[in-house]
Amino acid sequence: MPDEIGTLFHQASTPTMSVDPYAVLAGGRRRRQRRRLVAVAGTAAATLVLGVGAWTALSDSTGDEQTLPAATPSASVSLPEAVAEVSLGVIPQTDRTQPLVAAVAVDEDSGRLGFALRTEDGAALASRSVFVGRTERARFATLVPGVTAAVLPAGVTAAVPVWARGQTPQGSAATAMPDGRVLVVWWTDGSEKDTFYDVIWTEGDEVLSSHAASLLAIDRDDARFFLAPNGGVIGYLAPPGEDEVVGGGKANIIDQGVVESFPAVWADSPSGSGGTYAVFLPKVEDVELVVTGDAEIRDQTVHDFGEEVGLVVLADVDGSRESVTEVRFTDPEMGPTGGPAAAE
Amino acid sequence: MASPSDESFVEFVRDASPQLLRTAWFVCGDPVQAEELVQAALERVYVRWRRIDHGAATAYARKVVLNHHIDTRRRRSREVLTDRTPERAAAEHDVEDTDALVRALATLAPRERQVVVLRHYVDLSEHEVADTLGVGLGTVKSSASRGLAKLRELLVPEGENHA
Repeated sequence: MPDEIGTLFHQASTPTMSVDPYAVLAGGRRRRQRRRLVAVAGTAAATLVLGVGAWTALSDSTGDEQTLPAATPSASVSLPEAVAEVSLGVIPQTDRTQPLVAAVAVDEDSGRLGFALRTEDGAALASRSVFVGRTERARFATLVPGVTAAVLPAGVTAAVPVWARGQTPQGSAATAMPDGRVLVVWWTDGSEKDTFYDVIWTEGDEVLSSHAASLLAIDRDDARFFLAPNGGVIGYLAPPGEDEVVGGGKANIIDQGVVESFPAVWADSPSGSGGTYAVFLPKVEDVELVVTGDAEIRDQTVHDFGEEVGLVVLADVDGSRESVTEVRFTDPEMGPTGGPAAAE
Repeated sequence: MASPSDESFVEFVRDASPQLLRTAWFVCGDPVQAEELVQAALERVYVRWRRIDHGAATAYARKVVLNHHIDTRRRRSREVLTDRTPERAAAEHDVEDTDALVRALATLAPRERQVVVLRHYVDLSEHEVADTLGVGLGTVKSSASRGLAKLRELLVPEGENHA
């Protein structure tokens, strides 16, 4: 067996991965410089310098010898020139009482982009660069918990943020960048730590997501579910026909489970008790959603998107958010099965 | 102009990064996270580049990658960035065996996964694995045993398990 495992490892077809040696070199230099600064500065000042250092990562190009600016601990730091800035207003969780400004820089070569947050008078609050090399059409990053920014393609007409557990943005701001792309920043009240999951946006009639997949939209009475045909499901709800959705909407990915070789995922609506559930399945028969307690399925419809997408079951459930615990179905090839509970 | 030291570091990154990336990918299961782990680890190596034995730099970088992976897992409760759907029917790069291997590895405890990858992908001895992970030899042996047993259940076709 050990030999077999070794063979599997060495025969494995790995995804394309790489690191840019010069980007590593630049990062190493910044790290070394930060260590020196931390050694001579007080903790608070050093923290500020870290922010400046991270921001510098964005403005550095890769592949060339770089000279880092001599960052000096300061209570007021001027950020390097940004590609775009947007005024955010007062963001509660940052414990600030004056409006903040988000600035963004993009390093196309390294795949990093960065966002900085500062007060209107120039005092830096935070900055961060994030590697998002796999996201081709859109890039997004969480700057500080609850403050997330995205750079979206030119031509975007509307955009919505999606947090994994359904956090709702409290506000948003957007501006066009010089190259036509759009910078959007969303913020929440910071009361819930959540994973920023996705950005969904529209370009003309097309609905897209930062997962590089065009989305299918299913309109229901009060909701629109966006489903990625690459096997993923992103449950998102917005009033049908609403054109201006920047900063609106909410999504809850309740649970997910892998049943055999395919995903079974459901998402619910944000409409308080009960809600609309979407379950993504392959071609199956006899789908049954299992609910708990007194919950009741008021309505259930099935959408068949063909082989590429599979089957989507939508159900209106009267009960609590967690009232759907399982989906049972019959696979023509595998026979009766279920998930995700049955997969565990 | 880059200094000779920097030039040697760049050369080291070019040579060492392919295996480090694969190791990180086997351990974390995500190519993007693997790139971030390796990039961060190599940056740390650079900080010590003038003081470490260049012949042992790859081993040192590997150790940093694995430690950083554990640290990253510990921080999971904080808000994190993701650019991937958590579920994927078939990623572009996947072939059946790779998919099965990575899925199987994901079912192992982090320490078991690290031990199995170091033993059977990097081909380290048990003593070297213990040194890399900073654990005892007994831990390596027990983790390897448990990890392989789980992989055997998941990867070896039925009927061959008890051969």
